[in-house]
Amino acid sequence: MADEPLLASAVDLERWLFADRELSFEARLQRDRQIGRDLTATDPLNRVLQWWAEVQPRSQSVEDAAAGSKVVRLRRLLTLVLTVAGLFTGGFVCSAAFAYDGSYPVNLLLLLGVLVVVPALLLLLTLLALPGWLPGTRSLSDSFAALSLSRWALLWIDRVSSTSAGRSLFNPRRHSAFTRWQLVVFSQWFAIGFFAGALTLAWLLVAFSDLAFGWSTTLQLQANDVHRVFSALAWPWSTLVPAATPDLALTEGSQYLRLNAGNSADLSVTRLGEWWPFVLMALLVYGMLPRLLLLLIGQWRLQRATHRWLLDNPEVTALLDRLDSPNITFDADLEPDVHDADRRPLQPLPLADRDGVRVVIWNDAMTPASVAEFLRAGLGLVCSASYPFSVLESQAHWQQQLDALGADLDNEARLVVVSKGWEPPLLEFIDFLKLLRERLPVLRIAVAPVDVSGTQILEADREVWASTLARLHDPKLYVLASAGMSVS
Amino acid sequence: MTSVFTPTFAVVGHPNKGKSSIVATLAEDERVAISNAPGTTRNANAHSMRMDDQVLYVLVDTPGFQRAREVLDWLEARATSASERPAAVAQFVREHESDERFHDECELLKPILAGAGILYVVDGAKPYGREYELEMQILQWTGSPRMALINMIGSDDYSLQWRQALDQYFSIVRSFDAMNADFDNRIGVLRAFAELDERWREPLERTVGVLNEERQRRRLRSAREIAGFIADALSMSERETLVDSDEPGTGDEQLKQSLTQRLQQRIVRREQTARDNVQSIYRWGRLELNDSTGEILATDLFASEGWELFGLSETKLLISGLVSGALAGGGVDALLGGASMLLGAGIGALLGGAGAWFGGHELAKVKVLGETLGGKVLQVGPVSAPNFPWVLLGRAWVHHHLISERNHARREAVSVSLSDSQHLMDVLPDDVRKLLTRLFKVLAQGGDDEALKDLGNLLDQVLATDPGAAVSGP
Repeated sequence: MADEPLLASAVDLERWLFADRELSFEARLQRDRQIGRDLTATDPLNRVLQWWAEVQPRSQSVEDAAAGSKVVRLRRLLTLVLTVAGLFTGGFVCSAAFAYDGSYPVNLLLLLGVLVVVPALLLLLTLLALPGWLPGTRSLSDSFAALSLSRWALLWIDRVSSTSAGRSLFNPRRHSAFTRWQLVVFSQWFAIGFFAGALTLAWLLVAFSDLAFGWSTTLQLQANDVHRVFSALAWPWSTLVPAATPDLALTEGSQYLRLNAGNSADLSVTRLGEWWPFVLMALLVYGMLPRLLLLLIGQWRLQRATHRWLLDNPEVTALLDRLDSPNITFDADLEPDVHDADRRPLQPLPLADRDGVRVVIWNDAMTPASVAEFLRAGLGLVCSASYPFSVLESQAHWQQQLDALGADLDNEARLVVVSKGWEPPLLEFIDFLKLLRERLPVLRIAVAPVDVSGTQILEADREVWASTLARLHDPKLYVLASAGMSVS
Repeated sequence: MTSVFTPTFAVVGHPNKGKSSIVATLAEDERVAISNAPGTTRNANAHSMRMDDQVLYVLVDTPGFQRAREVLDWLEARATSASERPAAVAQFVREHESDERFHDECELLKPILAGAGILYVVDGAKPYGREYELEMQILQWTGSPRMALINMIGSDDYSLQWRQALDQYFSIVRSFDAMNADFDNRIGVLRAFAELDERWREPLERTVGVLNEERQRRRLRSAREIAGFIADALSMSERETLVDSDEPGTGDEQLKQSLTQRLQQRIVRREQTARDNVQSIYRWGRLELNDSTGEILATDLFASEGWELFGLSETKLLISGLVSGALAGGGVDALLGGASMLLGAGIGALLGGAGAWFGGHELAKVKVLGETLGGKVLQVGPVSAPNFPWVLLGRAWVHHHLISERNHARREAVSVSLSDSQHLMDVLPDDVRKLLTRLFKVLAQGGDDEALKDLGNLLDQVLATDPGAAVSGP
């Protein structure tokens, strides 16, 4: 069947995409867009199938990869089983309808009623119940489908081939069109088997036994009326197969009444067998041909429904989006995070005297007046002198200033360097500290990063200062903390 | 594939002023190292925004200036006129490329010398300092197109001071809060980039278009993801074969509890998968949820207070039940060609309303089913509580809002603050709620692909709106 590869792909794709959801969206996007850009097909169905051909070999599970083929094989098997079942059923019903023991002719009205009218009514109901044919027929269709042998067949396929996650492949709500048309196709195969069986058996009975046909009814029907009906029935083949068209004499002569001991009136007994071409043609034209036609339509619609199954799958919609949409990315070769340097444990700075301290104000961190207030209020220290330094000045100027500062200090003196705590300690500040140490080797230096408001900075910021200054490994360099002095 | 006109911007400035935050925000890259330790960025890192293989623009994250005074001194000693300044800068980089003392300066100047525009970043929440003029002068000496961004890292505002200084050195000065910038802010910055150089205008306008489309695509993708999750959650059930017991009822009750627990865990896992995917759609790979109101969004899907917050109120639930029942009953009316005088719709509405009112507290249906080959199974689920799909949607909506609006410069766990107002889903317009009611019903019955698609499209509209005052974040 033409839709077999498509059905296999639809089943496999559904299972594969369901499992693929475990992969992160970004990974799926990268993979699919990369494949999508190389696909040559432009229509969605072929793009998906080409993508599948690319991805399928990567499928890890052999069981998963074979699921589609399994469903197709099962469907083929069930089609065969239904056709064979139809064949036997048709043969059985036909043998019953053609039952002839020589006492009465085979009643044509009963024969056509069983083999043509009943199947025709079933066909009519099938047509009425076809999806979208008439409004409000869905429930009717569902009711018939529930009783149908084909429905059982579908459920069996579903049970055998459902995903490990318990997802139903033939969920009638999810794949309503596919399910319905598959039911129609299954039914037609059964019906074709039925009529094939009936025709074969009828021909065998005609060939290997002597059959006599007649018509009999309790209704007050005239032979003329019945002939008109037979003629109308034979109209489609009357020109092609005139022998299969009963004439009025045959019709009149074929009427029988059982109380008449089975003898037809005014007709040679041998003519009663002439009905067989009409019967076979009636079975062929009103039984077999409509079913073949409906099978063809059903196959065509089933193929379309399989397309829809594949393309209507929301996972496939998402896949097409990934295949067709440009992948927007930001690429970067990132270096690993830099972590803080090793730090020695904090210790209190031995700066308990109240002699007064000299203060360096770095980069206008505070005004001299506010520095004095900051030391007094925050730490109980007296500012004896302050020296502004700035990165805007040249290093020559710094050296000049430091010489003046050194002259004012003795070896035991302490120096507080007030800096902008909201700024990080830059290398140019480190350079300054190094210069300070170079000029004043024995001096205890406490760096006091201050906040914009002239108060202590946040602990996190102080940590930054402490860890940066710790890299200098200067045993006499301290960082001022809110609770006193600490060594970094 | 980078064309000669690919707009490239070097993000430069003082250390710790949010350069990397700006790059993380604009590049949507949570991997960018952000720290308050100076020197976290040691080398220039180029972030290329690509559409497939095509580079749309490049952002270069650079180390901060460390010895601006010395650099400027060096430059001033070598350039006697303005025309010599760019060459002096190039000479500086050439001569100091291997000098560890000026590693950071060389790293930041190299992309500028290669043609990148300058994006100078300052912190507008901290006072202006004269020392910044050294950096600004160096950048001016490069002669490259320059723009300044005043990044607001704290609550204080010194942007006026900064603006007065920056205006003297930069042709464009913009304020930009890297931590809280939303999509429109980011687009605004890109548009400002375009003003720096005429050649960049067209590619950047195109980039803006691409980003707008991508934003819509992400929302639709998220909506589909959430729709899939809700459909799955509405159809999930757990079943186990019943074992004959001497004491009927006791074992069944335990089994029922165990199955209920298993079902809840499965739904929670499915919700997590959906959230992971939504986060992945928005390029969030390693985000943690943290909820200030009892970790409602973070963990417990089945907590009753969460249902109060995210679901529908009883009144709305009743209306929803009425609508749902009327729709089902209306189907019967249609089948009978209207001969029922809309009795089906009426009875359906009554039944639906009653179900919503009285069945609102039952979580899932428990059934004992016969097996084809004999024996019985106990089935718990699918979850039938009328508020369930609304709670799922409410949680997903809030989660999406937080993720889509969140900025990649932020490193703390996602936090959501829910106000006192309850029943988040009540804010949905009536027509949307009606459509959702119908789709939830179809999906709860096994669903079809069409309904799932419709739900995805409808949720796309829902996600485009703000969950409202009930939620604050991100």
